[in-house]
Amino acid sequence: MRVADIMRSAAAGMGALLLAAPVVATQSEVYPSTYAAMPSVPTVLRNASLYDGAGGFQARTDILLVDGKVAGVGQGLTAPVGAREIDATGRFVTPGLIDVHSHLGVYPAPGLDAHSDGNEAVRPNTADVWAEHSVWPQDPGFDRALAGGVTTLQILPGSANLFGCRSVILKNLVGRSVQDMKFPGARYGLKMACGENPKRVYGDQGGPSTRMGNVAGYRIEFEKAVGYKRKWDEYDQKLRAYEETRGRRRPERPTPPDVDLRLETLKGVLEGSILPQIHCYRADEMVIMLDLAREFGFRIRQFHHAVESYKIADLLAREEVCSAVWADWWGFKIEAYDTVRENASLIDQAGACAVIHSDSAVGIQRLNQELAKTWADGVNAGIVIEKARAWRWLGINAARSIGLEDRIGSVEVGKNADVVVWSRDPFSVYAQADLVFIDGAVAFDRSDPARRPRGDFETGLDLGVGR
Amino acid sequence: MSGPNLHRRAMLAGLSALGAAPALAQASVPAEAADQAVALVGGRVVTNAGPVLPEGVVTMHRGRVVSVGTSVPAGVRAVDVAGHWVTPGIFVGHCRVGLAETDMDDATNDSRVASSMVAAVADATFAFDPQAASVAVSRLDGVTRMAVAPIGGPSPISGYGAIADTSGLRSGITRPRAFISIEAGDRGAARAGRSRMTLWPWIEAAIDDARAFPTRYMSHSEGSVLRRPEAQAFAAAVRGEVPILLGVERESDLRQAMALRQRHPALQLVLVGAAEGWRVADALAAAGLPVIVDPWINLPNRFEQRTARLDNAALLQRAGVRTVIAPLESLDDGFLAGLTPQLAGNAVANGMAWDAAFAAITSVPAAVHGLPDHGVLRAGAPADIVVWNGDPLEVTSNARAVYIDGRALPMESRQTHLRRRYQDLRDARTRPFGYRN
Repeated sequence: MRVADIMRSAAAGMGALLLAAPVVATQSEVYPSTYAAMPSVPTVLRNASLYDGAGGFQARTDILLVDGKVAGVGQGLTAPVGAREIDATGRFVTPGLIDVHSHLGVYPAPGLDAHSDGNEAVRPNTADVWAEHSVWPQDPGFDRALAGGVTTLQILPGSANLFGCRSVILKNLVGRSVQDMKFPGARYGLKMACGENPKRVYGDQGGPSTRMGNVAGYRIEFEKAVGYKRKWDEYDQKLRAYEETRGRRRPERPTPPDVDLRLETLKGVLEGSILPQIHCYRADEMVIMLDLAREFGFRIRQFHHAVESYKIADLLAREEVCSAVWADWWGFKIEAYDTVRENASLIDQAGACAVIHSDSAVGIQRLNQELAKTWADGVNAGIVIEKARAWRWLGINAARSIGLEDRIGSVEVGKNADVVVWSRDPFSVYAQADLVFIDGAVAFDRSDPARRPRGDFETGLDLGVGR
Repeated sequence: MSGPNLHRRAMLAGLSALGAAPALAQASVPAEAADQAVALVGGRVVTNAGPVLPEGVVTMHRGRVVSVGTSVPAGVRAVDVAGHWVTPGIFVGHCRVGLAETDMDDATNDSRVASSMVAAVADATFAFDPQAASVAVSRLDGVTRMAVAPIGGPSPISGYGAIADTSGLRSGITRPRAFISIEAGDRGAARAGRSRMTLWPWIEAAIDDARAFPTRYMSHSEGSVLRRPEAQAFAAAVRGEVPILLGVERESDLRQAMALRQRHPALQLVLVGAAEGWRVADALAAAGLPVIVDPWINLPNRFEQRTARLDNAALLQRAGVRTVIAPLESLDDGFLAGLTPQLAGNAVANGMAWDAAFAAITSVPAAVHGLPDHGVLRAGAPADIVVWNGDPLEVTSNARAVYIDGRALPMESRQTHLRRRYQDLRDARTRPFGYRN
């Protein structure tokens, strides 16, 4: 069954009331998720210090994990019979880390040409491409990221194209296929790119070769998507009339329009079911992208590598757009020249949504350090933000930026039991993730080699003790 | 003599609150002009030359440390740094700071030598720009000196590196042509017949050419692999007068490097990369070969790094190898060399002793690069000193004052100016940003 048909039949099944609601393009409809949580036992973490990811801090609390969910947070919790008790005295607990910008699996290690599967750089619009179809689950980067506390990743393509491809949200439990890792029910993102990269890649391949050419490229494609959506909306209307009418007055069964996989993705953006994730460094370009979104009536969920968000943090707050930022990366290109170390703090101070991302197989292993650095740089410059509030940049803000704030990103009752136990305050360079839980099961245990996964690529390698 | 506590009360340019730190740097500038000794009083002093002084006094004058102790000499201008750490400045053992303004624009990027360049040997001395934005950014992170190295080039010999400071003053060059960089792993092989089968014989032939310089090159004849300027440049290194930084990663290449050293005992080899160094740590220690490692390399990004691990630096150092920690591949060494202390902090998290990790970014790189006076605080040492608001290896610490050759330098970069310009967005319409600082 084809994508569009699946989405439509799902929508039809929802009944008349829901038909007006946007079709939700979740990851599980075609190439569906086959993720299964590992078996878990009820677990209580005792006497932990908790950054809950939603802005709260508790110096001494218990956290109860039952059936893959957070079942309790508070002092003196009563654990179910047979629960595993873990003494977390002196240790810190946070939600499992979310990296909203990773290329693991699509640019895996070893970094061979034959492994370079992250940029379908053949035309400026490859919205028909899906990142999941490049992900190599055996990338050793996944287990390194797990050792750094990462439980959820958004895998994105590179930024060669105006419309790169659909992202995929993964659980960091390596399976035999990408489907085994797909986050059930997560929405897709659409990677788009501003600025230098598309115009560099296509400058001598028919364009765009300028920033104005980039914007024309978005507008032309969105115009097509508007027309495409109209055709499908008309079809849906006729189909509904056909299905709701019985007897002699029943109209002829309508013929569906042709499916265009590229426009199908853009239509998802227009309908709000696919979340635009836009690579955009410069403030002036972000403002243009906000106008683009207004022109076509969609919402930008997040700007990535948003090194200049601090210049327009007030606008980003008003538009409710998240900024995924590094702590300090800069200089590698001129559009990354205006980095300030306090970017995240300035975004937060303006009431906008700051998120820390990695874009790196190295950075993803220590997102807590990236957060700590940029938080401290803010404090150093007089922008004093509570640590617990800053942890939102890896917690609820990160979850919200990929549309999963109802399931992950905070340690609160009812949330998925994705939890990290740190050896000490994770704002320290010396902190290590001791234990990582995914859906309540121990996915990583620093002290237990049997609970430190290793992919196929490294099986049998003499890695000595530890790693 | 009064102790630090007594003196603290009499401070003129005191640092009563952390927020006053920028004033610390600026307040100290006139002292140099007045040719007066300055004492940093009451900080936790890490000297790399003895035990930590919990409340020490470091006095500097005319560019040098004149004393390190617990009392304030008479006649000095005292600066209160209580609650702070006072350490030697960070010495980045390998980076490309100051060689490029932005990496992707060729016109501003002098750090990467094109493979087509064959008639000359690269020399970073000519390219280092003390006004490059990356220099001030590195200084604000507590870097005072650094080894800047070329990469790329037509042959495995990438060229000369230099030792530079981050003052932004004058040429910034501490020592020109301080070392010569050679790639001997995958990258070296790519420039010498695409194979290790030809790479190592090429290196051997290059040594032979350089040793025979200039006689072999008289009467217009060429060397077997080196042209005249290459042989000339390489000659001093072959005589053991200039260190050779040799890029090697995998165990077999590390063994080749040790064999090379055995064949040519005069060579001052320093191994760069050494991702699999831990596998041969004892042999490297026995051979007396120092290493420059990047402790974040723990992925098999290339097959030659197949068994890279996070505790490589700790294992090497513990085996007795002189170990330098520097940003090699894990982060952008042209722009983020100031994160070197974070690399060292991660080495500590993975088993390295704090003192060893701190030495690996200060005194050890200085000594490996032939500047044993640097990277330590003791009488006579160059006054490259950083005042930190906490443990310098911690990601939450910041450098609050930086002295290079005794001069307090401004804690400003274009990044700090940009931040101040946009820190308050409230009156964006009435006060356009172009009119702000």
